[in-house]
Amino acid sequence: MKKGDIAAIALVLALALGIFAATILLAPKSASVTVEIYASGEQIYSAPITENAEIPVSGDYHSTVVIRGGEVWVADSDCPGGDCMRMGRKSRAGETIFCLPNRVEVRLSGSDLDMIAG
Amino acid sequence: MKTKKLALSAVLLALALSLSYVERLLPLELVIPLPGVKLGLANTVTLYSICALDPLSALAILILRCIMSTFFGGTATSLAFSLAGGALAFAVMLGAKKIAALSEIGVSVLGAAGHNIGQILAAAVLMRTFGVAAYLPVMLVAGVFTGVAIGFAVQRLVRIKV
Repeated sequence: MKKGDIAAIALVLALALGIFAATILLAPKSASVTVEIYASGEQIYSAPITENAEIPVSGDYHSTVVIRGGEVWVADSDCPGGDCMRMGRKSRAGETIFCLPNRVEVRLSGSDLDMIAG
Repeated sequence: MKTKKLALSAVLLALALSLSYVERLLPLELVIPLPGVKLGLANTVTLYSICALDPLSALAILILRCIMSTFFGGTATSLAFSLAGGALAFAVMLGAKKIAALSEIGVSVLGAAGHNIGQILAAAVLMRTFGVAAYLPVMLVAGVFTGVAIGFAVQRLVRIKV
């Protein structure tokens, strides 16, 4: 282990911290969170997180996105790996769940418009 | 000399292929329950071939490994991902190798970061969103640990005279 190795590790950790901070700061502070579901880049669902729903998503595979009790998660998916199910439950604006094999993205966005409109 | 290099390259390619296959059998998610986190065992071969062979041979081994491992149960998507990650990791490691202050460990850590960034870029293209970048910090931190482990292994390996 040389001195430069420590610098390399510090650089990578700083980059991770920087991106993490940026995603937190850039996420709009909003009380209302909207759930948007995209399949292959196209929006197929958009509704407030307070609205309970079960959305089947069919791309190359079949997944089920569940919205309940202010949380969103992928309950079921027949994609290889099943990483999307392991990404857990999300509830804050700026968070995302994605399933690469099925090309599905669940995006939690905060709407600034609501804040302006009160 | 030419024959020896060809034979060594072929052995390294076979090793890289088996390592990428063995890695799928390891239940890493039981230890680190994060999707997408891999040990990157095959990167041992890439880094070793950059150090012990020449860049061109290393690149050939890398590309052939990516293509051939697709035959062991990969998809077109997984091929795109390993090529994107592998290419960026290769470029970063080749550059980092020229920095005297870095040992194999530092080169490996930077290579792992390059691999993660390449894969996130591929994911961003595939999903048509940069939202996937939110997952990059998790992968970068995990990459530091796996990168150190792989770099440590290669450091031991390059001391063996072939």
